[in-house]
Amino acid sequence: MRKDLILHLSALSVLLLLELLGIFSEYHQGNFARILVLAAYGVGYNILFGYTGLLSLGHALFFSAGLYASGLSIYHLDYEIGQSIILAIGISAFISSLIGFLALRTIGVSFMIVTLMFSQIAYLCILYFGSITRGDEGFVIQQSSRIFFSLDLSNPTIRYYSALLIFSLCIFINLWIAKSSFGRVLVAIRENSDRALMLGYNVQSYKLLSIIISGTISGFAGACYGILFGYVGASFATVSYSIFPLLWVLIGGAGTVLGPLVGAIFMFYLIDYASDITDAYMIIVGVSLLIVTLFARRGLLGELRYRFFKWIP
Amino acid sequence: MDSLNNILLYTENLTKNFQGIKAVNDINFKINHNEIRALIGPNGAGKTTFVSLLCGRIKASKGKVFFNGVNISHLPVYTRISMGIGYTFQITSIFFNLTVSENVALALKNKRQEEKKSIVSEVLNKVGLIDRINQRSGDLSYGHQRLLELAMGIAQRPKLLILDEPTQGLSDLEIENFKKLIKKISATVTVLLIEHNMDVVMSIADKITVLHFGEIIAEGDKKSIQRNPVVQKAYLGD
Repeated sequence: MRKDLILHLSALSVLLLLELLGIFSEYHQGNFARILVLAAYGVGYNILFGYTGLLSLGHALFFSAGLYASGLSIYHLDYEIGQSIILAIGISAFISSLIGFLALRTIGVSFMIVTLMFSQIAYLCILYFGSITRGDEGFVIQQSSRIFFSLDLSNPTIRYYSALLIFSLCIFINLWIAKSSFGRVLVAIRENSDRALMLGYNVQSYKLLSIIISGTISGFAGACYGILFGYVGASFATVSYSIFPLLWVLIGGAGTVLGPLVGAIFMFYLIDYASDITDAYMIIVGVSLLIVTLFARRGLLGELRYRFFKWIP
Repeated sequence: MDSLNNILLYTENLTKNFQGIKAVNDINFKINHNEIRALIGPNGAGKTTFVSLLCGRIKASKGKVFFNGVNISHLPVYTRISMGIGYTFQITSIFFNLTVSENVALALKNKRQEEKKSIVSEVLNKVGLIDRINQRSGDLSYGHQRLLELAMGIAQRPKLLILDEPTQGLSDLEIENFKKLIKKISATVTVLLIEHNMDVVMSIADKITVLHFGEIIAEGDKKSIQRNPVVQKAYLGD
């Protein structure tokens, strides 16, 4: 079996065994369920930023598109879980196509600003149409609506396994992309888009496809987040939720499949433990991030790949 | 004589203005199948701009480009490349974080994995980089990076290969090998060579075109170009 496949299967097996052997306390089980879904969001972000080299500051738009599409369809239209997820995937794909088509008319800093602006528009729309979205306070998806094939997704154990399944699906999609010719072209565009163009690749189309895949995975993660944790709120559409995946990917390693998970675990527990020590925990977080940036500028997994394991995808 | 069937690419009144400055001015140019054509001229003559217009990297202000009898003036770069125009950059432009073989493989669109492997080996053998097939291209010497750039151009199997100062930074031995290689590939590929090294130009070009201030000031075989007083004036000044 291929080394890269063994690595990813092993990582997933460890996450499975932690639960099967009862190693997790209830607290960490809940944390990890959240981290896994958010890391799936990071995987989506990584496809655009880590592999294609496009830095978006508006991914909260895609995450919240999925979150609200599934949440509102359950809340207002009594959709089943499966139906709401399919709807969320469709809407995320449509929105990311539209945003991609418009934002790709710009490059570099302008691309960042344009994506940020679209995301802010979405956030303001959520607040403005408060009669539907319940505005800033959001809404709760009732436990009775969170049953999927007789499985109660609000049950912490089932929620953890579901989160693991969602994350596994996303990283296998990412792994497949990373090993495919399509993924190679994305990396080529990231490295030198002018050269990729002169090799006959329609760079704009590849970038657009990358945004659609990235946005759809992010939307899927958003939909799953709302369903698993039972809450849909405007805070998920704020700029913070565009910055988080960027941080997870940068800390874990841009362009590595498991980087977003490593980054999300690191950030989550760093904040968790630092806030136990002091109220001024952001100082500890800031210093820790500086240290990581100084000594592992390719991210934790990225640095390991650069120095020792070049085969890590 | 250039019969129409023998012409691979020609331009009609090709012009490029940059804010009023004519970098390429009303150029009518022809290149035949399997020819090695050198495009020379002093710095700033418009050579790179001209070839960029041919492959579509920049849009012409006026004029047309015909390739294999088809008007390609309105076509985007990637379509022109797919039609058989290959281009290697003046400044080394490879994928530094990918291996040598991955770089060449990227030049092979729509090919099966096995076919890719065999073409990659064949091309790297040709340019003498086969021993470095798995090396990260960013770790290669500058000369080897230039050869890799050339390998990517050859791997595309273009009908017209545009080489923008390909021998820059190569050692004497590498230049000798390069000349042999270009001679060899010209049996199947037309080569348009921008080059400052006159030794290279004189030893491999079938015909030379001289550009100055965006205009063709002379065209012909090596001897006629060497003797041409207008060319001498352009290079040496009054």
